[in-house]
Amino acid sequence: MTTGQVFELERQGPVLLISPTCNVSSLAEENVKPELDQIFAQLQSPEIKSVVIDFERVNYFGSSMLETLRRMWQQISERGGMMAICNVSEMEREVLHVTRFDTLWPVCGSREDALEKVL
Amino acid sequence: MTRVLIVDDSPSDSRLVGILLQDHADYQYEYAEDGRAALRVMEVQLPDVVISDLVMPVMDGLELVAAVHDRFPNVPVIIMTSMGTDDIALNALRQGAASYVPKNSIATDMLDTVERVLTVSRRRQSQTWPTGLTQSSCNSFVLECNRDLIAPTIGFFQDQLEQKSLCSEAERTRIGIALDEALANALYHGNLELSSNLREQDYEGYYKLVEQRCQEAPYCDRLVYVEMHLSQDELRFIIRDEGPGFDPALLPDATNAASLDKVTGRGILLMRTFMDEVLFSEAGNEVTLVKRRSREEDAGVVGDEHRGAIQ
Repeated sequence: MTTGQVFELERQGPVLLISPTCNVSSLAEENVKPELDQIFAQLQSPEIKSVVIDFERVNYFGSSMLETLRRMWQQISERGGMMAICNVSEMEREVLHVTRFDTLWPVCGSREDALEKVL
Repeated sequence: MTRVLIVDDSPSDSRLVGILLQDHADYQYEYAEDGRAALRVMEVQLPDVVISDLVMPVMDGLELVAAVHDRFPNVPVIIMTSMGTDDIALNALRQGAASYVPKNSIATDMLDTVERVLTVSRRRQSQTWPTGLTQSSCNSFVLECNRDLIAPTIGFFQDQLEQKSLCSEAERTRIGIALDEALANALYHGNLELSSNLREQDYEGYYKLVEQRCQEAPYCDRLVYVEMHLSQDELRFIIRDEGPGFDPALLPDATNAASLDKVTGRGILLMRTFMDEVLFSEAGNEVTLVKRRSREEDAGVVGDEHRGAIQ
């Protein structure tokens, strides 16, 4: 497991599990970038087939996190992989719904469900 | 006269508290044998403070704390705890209890605790605006070119709304998201003149330009002005940057299926979702976010969990 300022990373076989540990919007985007660069480098690895983002420790996010999710999905789907997200709050579900991002990837109730979707 | 409601299924414990209070001329007290009976009493006349046992039949102290917090949020509840119930007492505090007193310290600590809790409660209520009486106020900030200033600015406004008991927590979060989008737009797209298209096409180049322009005139000298106006009818935020502005009509519909893989317009979509009105100035470098107060909710018709607008 790797723990950064904002993201905690964990491998479960071919799946990269990403857990945001604080609300990204409270940080300058440019300060988050080094951690995101590390994540995107891992997503390039042939060993990583899919990605699960677990929002259990975060209550809300805005367009900055949506953009990060969109890039992750773009990168993993280009290589035929899958992405799922889980443990979203009511507020996060609303954000995903109004932006229609809930049509792009499964939004699951638990980490186990999300892993099942991408494996 | 201060009204105290004592809730305990044990007559001896209730009486002990009553005896302590009767020495205080200003206190008037009555009893209820459990949480449900206490709520019935409160429906007829609200006490200034509730003193409740934890373990009771029908509705226990924890359930009572939750119910009072939900239905009568201005009435503080003090919990009486027995040996070995510290964890439950902590839970009660998390659920909204104002304080707790161990049963073996009632004689020495209860009066002081009641006084202290009432002082805090009265101070808080004096800051809560009664329905029909709303003070107009305005707070404003000027932000230099630093993204780290956005979070404390939003935090200040959210604290103001909380102190004035104007919004539910969920609504404060929604307003916070809309403000975050507006302030980030003003800084990155307004003052630093960075385009979302660049971020989409050249992610590395975009962030190089962020770093560069944060140090480079005229971009780094530009300021963001933010004001919060609070009136009887609405809450209004005005955010202005010193950039050249833009034409919001040119933004694509972010909900269009064809736009899902684009970066542009999503922040404004969130602003429009979480506020009642979003208006751009003609030049496009000033945005006004409006949240209207709801009369129905002011009257307490809708429960807190359903409130979508400012109370």
